[in-house]
Amino acid sequence: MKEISFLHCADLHLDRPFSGAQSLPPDIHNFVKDSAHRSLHKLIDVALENSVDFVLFAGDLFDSSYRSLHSQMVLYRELQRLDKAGIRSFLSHGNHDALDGEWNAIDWPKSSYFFGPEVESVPFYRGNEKLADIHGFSYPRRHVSENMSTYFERMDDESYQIGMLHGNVEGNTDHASYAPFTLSDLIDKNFDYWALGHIHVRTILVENPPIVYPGNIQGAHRKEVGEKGCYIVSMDEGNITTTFHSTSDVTWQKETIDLSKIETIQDLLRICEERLHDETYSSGGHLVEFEFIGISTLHHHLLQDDVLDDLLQALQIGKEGELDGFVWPYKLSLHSQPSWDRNELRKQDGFLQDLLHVSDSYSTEDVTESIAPLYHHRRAKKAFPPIEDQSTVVEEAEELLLSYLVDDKGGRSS
Amino acid sequence: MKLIGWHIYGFGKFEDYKVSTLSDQLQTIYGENEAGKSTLIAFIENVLFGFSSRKEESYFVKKYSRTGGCLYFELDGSPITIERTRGKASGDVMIHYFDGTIGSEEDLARLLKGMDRKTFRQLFFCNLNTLHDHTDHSEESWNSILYEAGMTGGASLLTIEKELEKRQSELFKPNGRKPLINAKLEEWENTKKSVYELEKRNRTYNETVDKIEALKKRIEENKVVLISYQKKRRELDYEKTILPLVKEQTKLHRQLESLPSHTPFPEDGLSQLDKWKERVVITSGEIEQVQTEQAEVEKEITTQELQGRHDLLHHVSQLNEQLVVYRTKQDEKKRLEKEKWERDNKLHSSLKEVELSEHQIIKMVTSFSAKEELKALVQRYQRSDQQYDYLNDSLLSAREELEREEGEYERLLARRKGDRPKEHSTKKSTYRSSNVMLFISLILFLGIGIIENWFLAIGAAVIVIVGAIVMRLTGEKSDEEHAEQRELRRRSESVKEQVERLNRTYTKAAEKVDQWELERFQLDEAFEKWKADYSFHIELSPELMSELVEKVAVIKQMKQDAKVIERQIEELDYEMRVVEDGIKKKCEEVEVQFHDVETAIQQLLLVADKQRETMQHIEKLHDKLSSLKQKEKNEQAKLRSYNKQIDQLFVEAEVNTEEEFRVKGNAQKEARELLSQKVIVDSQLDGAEDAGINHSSVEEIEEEKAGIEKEEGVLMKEQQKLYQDIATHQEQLRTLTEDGTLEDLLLKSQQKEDELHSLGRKWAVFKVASELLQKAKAKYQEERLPAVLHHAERYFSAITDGRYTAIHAPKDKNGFQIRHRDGTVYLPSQLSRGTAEQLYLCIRLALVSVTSIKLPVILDDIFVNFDEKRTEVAKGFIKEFSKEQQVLMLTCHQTTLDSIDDHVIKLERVFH
Repeated sequence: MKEISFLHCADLHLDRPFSGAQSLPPDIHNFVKDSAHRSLHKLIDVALENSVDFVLFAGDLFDSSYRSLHSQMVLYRELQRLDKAGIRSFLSHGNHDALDGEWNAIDWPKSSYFFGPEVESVPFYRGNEKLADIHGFSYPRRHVSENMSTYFERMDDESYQIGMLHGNVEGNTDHASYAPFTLSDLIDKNFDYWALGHIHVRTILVENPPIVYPGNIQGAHRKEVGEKGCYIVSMDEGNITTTFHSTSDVTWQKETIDLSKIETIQDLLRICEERLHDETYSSGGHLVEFEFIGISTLHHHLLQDDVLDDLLQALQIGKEGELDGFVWPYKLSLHSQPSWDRNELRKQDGFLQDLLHVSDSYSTEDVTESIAPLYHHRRAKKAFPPIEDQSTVVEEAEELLLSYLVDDKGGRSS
Repeated sequence: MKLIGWHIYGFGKFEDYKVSTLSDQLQTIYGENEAGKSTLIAFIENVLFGFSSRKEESYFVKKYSRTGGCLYFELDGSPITIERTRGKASGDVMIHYFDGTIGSEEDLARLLKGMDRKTFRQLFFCNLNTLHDHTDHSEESWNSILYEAGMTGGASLLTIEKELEKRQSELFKPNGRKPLINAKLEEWENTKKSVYELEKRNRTYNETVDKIEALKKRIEENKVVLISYQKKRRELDYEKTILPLVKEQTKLHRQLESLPSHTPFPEDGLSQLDKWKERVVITSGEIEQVQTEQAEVEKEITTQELQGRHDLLHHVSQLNEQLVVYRTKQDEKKRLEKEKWERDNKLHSSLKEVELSEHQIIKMVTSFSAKEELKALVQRYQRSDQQYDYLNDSLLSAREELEREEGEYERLLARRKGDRPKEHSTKKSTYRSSNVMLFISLILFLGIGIIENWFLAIGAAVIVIVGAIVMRLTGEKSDEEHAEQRELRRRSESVKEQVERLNRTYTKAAEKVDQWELERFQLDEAFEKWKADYSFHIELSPELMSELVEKVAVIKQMKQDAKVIERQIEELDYEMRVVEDGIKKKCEEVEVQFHDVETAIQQLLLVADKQRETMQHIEKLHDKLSSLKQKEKNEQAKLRSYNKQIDQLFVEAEVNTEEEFRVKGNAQKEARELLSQKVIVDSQLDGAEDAGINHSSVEEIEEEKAGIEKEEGVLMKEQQKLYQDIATHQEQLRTLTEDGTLEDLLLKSQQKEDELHSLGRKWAVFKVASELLQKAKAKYQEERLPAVLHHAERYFSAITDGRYTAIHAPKDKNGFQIRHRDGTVYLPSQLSRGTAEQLYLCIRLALVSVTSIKLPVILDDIFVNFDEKRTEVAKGFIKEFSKEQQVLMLTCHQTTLDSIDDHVIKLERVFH
């Protein structure tokens, strides 16, 4: 089999707004706004620079089944760049942009092939020689609970067989209804490469044959930390090399700080600043979350009033973006623990004991009920989906109360 | 757990302060302000719960070797020591159990049952500050304070509750607008609405594309209709153009048929005939004119020839040539006449000069011999003169010497006689007068000779000369005699001899002079003879005569020359006259008045010139005549040719007369005209045979066409509008595909949503916290408060000496109620301040009594507002109470110590 090379990416999620970082300053807002488009552009640059034979887009091109015209045009222009360079592209729609959605049809470049709802294979020719078959399908609707891998079949032994599958590997309970498959399903197909999509975290599930989640091309949520991009895959008989290329220029970062060694807010502020001035943030856009851990009396301080908010605002001063980058601390997560021992407090009879007892017996239903004025508010409920981690709300509420009721030392030393 | 004592290593103002005998019931600690009561309490608190990190509370003093200390407790009958020394943050703690084992911080926490510093303070530390700080004496505040007192001992719950309420309402109010979430919610709704609208607009994409397609289709349909209209319009236009042509064609056909015979007829027959005829007329006229001219010329030639004289010019020119010579001669003559005149003048002047008449001159002979003879005579005269001069000189010198000697002699004599010098002077003058006489004679001679007569002159001269000579001679003789005599007389010997010698010399000289005079006379005679011989009858000296001869010779030559000139003049005159005569003769011939030669010749030349012109004119006339003749001949030839052409035309047209020819010609012309029109019409109608003529008139066609054009216009306008609509829709599409507003809005919406979630969560935490607090309070109220109030009731009854019998817990909306033993029920605010403080104290102590953990209760000057009696009762009550619970009573009032004699620690203001 002749040598071929291609680019594998997935989960462009065009039109997906950044979430998790609120109140961005206008410059950063604008920088972030087009980041997925820029990442896509750079991704095409990578394809052109590497003169790949074709490009695979393994599902979720758009964030919603409603595809904005602008984003469609963006994708169109990038596909046209490939078209002009004589590079074919194979695209499938995933659960986000399933075929049953409503959108305005666009005439895509001829060299771009969009898979239909059934698994099909498209041969790839160089000259008159068939070099590969690309198998794939698009989500006909949002949920595909069937194991679609069963429909993938090798066409021949003379050319590379590449499967494009947007779905989740079984066992991942959160994604049960998205074309689930098992690794052995895929391995048994004896394909040369599995170009997966759907999971936003870059993962190589199996080295040989490569079964690869390239991750999404631009992190749009605080949980999608780290570099984002695509894989360039080169195949030459048995030799397959996969090289990751970073294309995103806005990166979600998480900085963890142990509060147990820090005594004052000022020290904490200084340490955070130091982290923000780290070399790794010197270029590109960085949205930084600080996670505070450890047992500390500072925890108690940070709980009260708006200390945490004030600290964040203090860190944000002067961080408004520059032309080609920014470092924006967008969130401070207080995952540290108070200096008191809840169990000990609970033993103490009296009001605290009652309070902790009440807190312990406080059910999620109680939470739902108590937050109903907002979360079930006639107008507000549209903006407020049910709180996912209601138990943490109780924990936080209890911590807050304790921070008022309990002396900061709590009879403990650290 | 009872506090037995303490050992302060170093804390605040205390160093190495040891107490070990505290009462296990009531222990009073007295100290004035600043004595260290508070420090002591802080020490206990700090050892139990760790050193405070707050700097203002720091009791660490550097000078102490050890900071901290230990508390001695008795727990269930066993002693236990809790030691805390300064360490890292809150210090290092150690629990020394009675069995020697050592416990850690965790053990301490367990020992204190998780109690924290704040709870400890709220429970076991009691003063009236809380009461006074937190009450505004309203029923509500009283209630809550009492309630808190029974719950936590402190007033923080109320604060917390209020704080939580405040934070919640800052974030969200169900019906508010201002709170953060409400405001953000509205923003979010607006953004969402924009997004929705934008999406809705984007959804119009396909619709718009369809619209464009529909518009394009409509345009294409219209185009087809338009094309059919255009075709119809063209057809009508065509019909409109051919309709008159067809009509014309028919008309021409008819006209052609009605014409007379018109063939054969030569091409351009009529115009050719006209042309030839015109030429015949012209040529005939030409011939006539030439003939007339010929006659005129011939007549003129005859006239001119009569006047012509052919030879005149020749003659006149000959005369003219002669005249040139004539003029030369005339000039010559003038020159000669002038010369003659000059010569005559010269002659006359010469004659005048010699004072001779022509007549005399003619007689004078100036031959060569005459001249030679005269020349010889002159030479003789010259010799004679020279001889005379010599003789005279020697005579004179001799005389002078003689006279000198005589003078000498005389002088010698003079001494005797003195008259002799007079004689001498006379002699001299005599001599002089003789010379004058000679001179005069010469002048006379010349003057008379010239003026009067040479004879007379000579005569006069001779007389004078003779006279002179005589005069001289006489004079000399006397002188000599006188001198010699005197010399001789006076000088006797030497001078007399000399005078004689000299006298002899002188005589010799005189003899010689006489000799010369004779010779001279002979010479004069010879001269006279010459004069006579050659007719020069003039008295002149020989030298002058010689000159005269020369002059006369010249004059004679001049006269000769004059004669030659005269002869030349005469000759010229003759020759000139011959010419003049010739001219005169010619003048006569041509009848020209002769005045002088020059004028005559001029006139003759003029006449001759005229003659020449006449001749030339005649010649020209001859030439003209011959050319005219030639022309006539040519014209005649042409005329013949033209007539021949005309005949030919007739032959061609098969007619005999011009009239016939013209009639046929006109018919032919008309036919041709019609035919050419027919050709045009035919050609315009070429290929139109098929086109049907559906209308009878142009107007009818126009009408139909106008109708079509109107419809066409309407359709065109519609097309234009359709194109505009397409452009508008396409612009909409462009905006939809290029616009990045949606991304922006989506991100904004997401941002706001994130923000809302975050705020909502915050609110939820506050809300839940509030709920928890409420629930905890309810639980407490339900489960613990009755027990607490039960104890409090007992205490209150005791402390009030049984005046108040019951405390009713708050129920529903009612607050605390206190029942007097007389059955009256009071509200807390209705109690006196002291009673209220008693009530507060009782509830606090009741709370302590129900708490599972037992620690000493610290009462800080609680009696200040009590009167003496009440204080005593209170003291009794506290004493009683301390049996249940160890009490540390702090006071700065000496009176408090009254009746408490045992277990008092007095703290000094200055401890050390």
